[in-house]
Amino acid sequence: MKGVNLGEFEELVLLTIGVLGEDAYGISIRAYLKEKTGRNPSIGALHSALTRLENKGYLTSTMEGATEDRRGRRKRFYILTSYATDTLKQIHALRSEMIKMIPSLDLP
Amino acid sequence: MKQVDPPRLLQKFFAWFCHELHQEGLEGDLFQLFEERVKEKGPLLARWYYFTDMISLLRSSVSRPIFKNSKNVQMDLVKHYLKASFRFARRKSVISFINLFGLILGITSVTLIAIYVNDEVAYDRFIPDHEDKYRVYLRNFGLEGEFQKSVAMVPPIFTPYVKENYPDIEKMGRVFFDYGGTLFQIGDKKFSEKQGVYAELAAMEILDYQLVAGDFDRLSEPNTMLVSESLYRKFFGDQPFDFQMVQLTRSSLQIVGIFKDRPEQTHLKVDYIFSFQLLTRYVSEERMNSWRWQQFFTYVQLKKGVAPGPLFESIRTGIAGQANEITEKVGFTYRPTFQPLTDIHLHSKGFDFDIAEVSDYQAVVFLMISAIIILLVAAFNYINLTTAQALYRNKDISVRKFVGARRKQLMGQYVMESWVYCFLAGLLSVGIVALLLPYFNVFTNKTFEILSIISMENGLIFVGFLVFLGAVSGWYPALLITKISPLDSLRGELRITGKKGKRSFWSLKNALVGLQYMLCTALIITSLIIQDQYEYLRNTDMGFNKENLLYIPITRNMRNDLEAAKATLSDHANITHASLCYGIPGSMVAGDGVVLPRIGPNEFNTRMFIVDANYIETMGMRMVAGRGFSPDLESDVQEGFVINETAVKDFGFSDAEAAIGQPMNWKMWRQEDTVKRGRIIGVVDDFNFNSLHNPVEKAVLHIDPQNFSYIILRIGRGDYRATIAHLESAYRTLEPIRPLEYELVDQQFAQMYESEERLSNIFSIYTSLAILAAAIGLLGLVSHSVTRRSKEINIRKVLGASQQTILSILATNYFKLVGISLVLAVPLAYYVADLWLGSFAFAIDITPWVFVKVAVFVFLITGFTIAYHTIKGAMTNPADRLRMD
Repeated sequence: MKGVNLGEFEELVLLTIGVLGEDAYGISIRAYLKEKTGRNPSIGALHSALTRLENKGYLTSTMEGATEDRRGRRKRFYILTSYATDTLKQIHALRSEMIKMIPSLDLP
Repeated sequence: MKQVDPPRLLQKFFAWFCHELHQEGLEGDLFQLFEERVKEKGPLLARWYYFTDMISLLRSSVSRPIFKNSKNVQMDLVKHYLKASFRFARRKSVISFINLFGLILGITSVTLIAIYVNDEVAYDRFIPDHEDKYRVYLRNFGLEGEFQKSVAMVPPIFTPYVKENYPDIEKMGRVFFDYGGTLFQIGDKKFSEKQGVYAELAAMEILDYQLVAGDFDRLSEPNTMLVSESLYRKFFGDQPFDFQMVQLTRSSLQIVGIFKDRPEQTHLKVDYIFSFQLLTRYVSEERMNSWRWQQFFTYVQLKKGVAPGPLFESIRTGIAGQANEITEKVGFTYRPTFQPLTDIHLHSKGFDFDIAEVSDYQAVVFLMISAIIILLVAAFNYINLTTAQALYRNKDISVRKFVGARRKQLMGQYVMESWVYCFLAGLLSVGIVALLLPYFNVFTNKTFEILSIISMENGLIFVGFLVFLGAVSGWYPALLITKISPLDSLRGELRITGKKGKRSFWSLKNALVGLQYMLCTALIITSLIIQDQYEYLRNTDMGFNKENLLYIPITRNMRNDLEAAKATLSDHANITHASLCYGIPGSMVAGDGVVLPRIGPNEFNTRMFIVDANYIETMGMRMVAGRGFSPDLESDVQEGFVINETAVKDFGFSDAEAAIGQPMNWKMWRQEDTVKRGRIIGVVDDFNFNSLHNPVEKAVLHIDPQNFSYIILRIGRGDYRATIAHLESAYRTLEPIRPLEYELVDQQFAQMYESEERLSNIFSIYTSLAILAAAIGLLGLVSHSVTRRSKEINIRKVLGASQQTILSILATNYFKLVGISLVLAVPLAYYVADLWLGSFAFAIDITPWVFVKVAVFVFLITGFTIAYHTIKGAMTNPADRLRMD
């Protein structure tokens, strides 16, 4: 099969958005990434990854949910496209297949 | 709870920077994070993180499309224009280079001169209320009302008189220069200082002297003085100020204050100030109340809101009422004149007895004009060359017009192109100015620094100037080029100006070239005349030999036996003559009255040279009639007077011989009631003891050993250094305390002409630059026109025209232009030069020879400039050229 053009950080971002479901926007994504991986990407870096993913067709976004602590600015919520879910599945399938073939790991 | 906000400026910046697509979401995120952090970490850290977050967002994926392709048509168009200009510039690189080079020359010269002029006119403007402050000087008139000279010093009585009678005067104060300087002794160290005055406190307040330490008011006590910060440091190093005492040769004084060093831009810079009491103690009451003793620089401050005109007029009449009666006896009247403080530096040229740092207003104007001429030449080059290029750009323009460009847009394109040139040239000029500034300082005797010149204000002026220059030089070509009719042009006919087929001699192009040449020629002529005059100033016969004359002030220790001192100092093979005197050409010469009893009881105001019997021979003066002083005749000391030729005329004698033997009386200086009664024994040829700006005044020479204050020595052609070494050691035996200080007469004169020297130097540089700019402009035009007409030329050749014919066809036009501009330039230059020479009493005559020289020079330059291209044009093989078509 042909490889997918996803970087490691991008893959993590996609997974995070999947996990967060309907509540995935800049800050919540960053917070979840920090909680799970311990890294703390700058919002610039995160934003550029999100823009890239959107341009590649993995994400769509909608603007809603203005609150007071945002001074009336809406949030940009990200949702995985079906292309993204397919790709994630593919990656997962490939990885679990290959990892089982490493004898020393002795996985079921 | 009060709401905490992120920094406003950052918010605004981000709103500007961010692409509108991302703006809302990102701003929201930033605010939300900020709020969270304010709660967790406090507002300070929150702001800091807000800032770092924003920095992380400054990336192209977030930014608005400034430099990216966008829907912004205006921006695209500008980009496109720039690209087109750049491509064209590269294709026609010679012409672009000429344009750029000319503009750089022009902008650099104007900038340098602007820096200079700006500094000159800024003199004394830092002084608060300077518009209410004036210096009083005197304009002297003869008895027939003819103007004689301006004198920077006024009688001491003015100040008390005016203060008492005119309540509109806020302050008035006198300053007396410390002639000859003072030797200070601190501990065992000696300092010989020269820049000092005796001053009243009011004068210092008017001139804005600022206190650093101590108490200015104590200057009203007798034995006190003030020093400048730097002189204090020289005297005492880092010691704290403590009203120290300093030792003078005869007395000791207390320093009661330190004043701030004077800024560069002021006319009067002094290092120390003595209490005025110190002066009045030595000067008799009678002198201080004299209406004739013109010896004090006097400053006035008016009360706020007082109209100066009527006040000065009434002071003038008041003083005239007191003084005229007294001065008329001596043959003159004076008219007190008030000059604003800010005028002193530029408008006091040629004032007698001035110690102010003055500069020449005319020179400043001349320099400004010459810089502007260079700029004009550059701008004309640009206009001509760009217009000429229309030929190569007509297709471009026609196509644009067909596609729908409007003329206005196309004009915009060309004006923009000229802005690009101007700003590029401006940028490079700034660099060049920075590099040239140290050399410019040497020329102008200033201390400019690039960093102190660069400021927001100057930057804005500079940019404004570039915008203006670009608009002016780009406007006409734009107008002309865009006039092309696209139909004609694409059909292959090109009409730019005038009626079809007619090339008028009176075109704008020719007018501009002519104007360029006229201005340059006028510059060359003026510059040559200035140079000639400067040479004349340095080398003219002064009536005495000013070379190799050295003089030494007589000190207290030498006075016991002056003849012995003179003998000791001159006891060297290389010292040919020596004389004791008071009154040396090139430095200040005293003035006093003499009476000629046979002519009338009135005094004549003359310049007074106190000399000994060797003086006339030492100076190399020439006797016209009678005889000089003889060392063997005791009667010459008692009753001998020698006068100069001007005095013969002014006293009213028919000729020099008639003056011999006439009685003459003079009131002795040190015993005012004693009169020296004598006779005129000789007449000496006129000699210039002042700057050649001024005519020779009547002078009287006589022997009066009491008043000698210099020993003047004529040095021979031998080893100069050995002579000085001899003087050093001989001096030490005579004067153990003071160090040897000597001056050279020719250097004193050279200093008088510093401003002329400077003007002559800068002017010749600027003239060369203007010629260079004009010549390369012409070169560009010629190369262009030869290329354009190559087909015509070659067809003529095929039809039998000789090379000479072709050459004359190509060159006549230019020579005609240069000829006409020469004719126009001559009266202009004559007028300007005549005006300038008018400020000298001794000036060269403007001879037609100068004009001839310049005419030949200009024709040669033109010839050389156009030679290469015209000869090349005339020599091509017609077959080569015509085969191309």
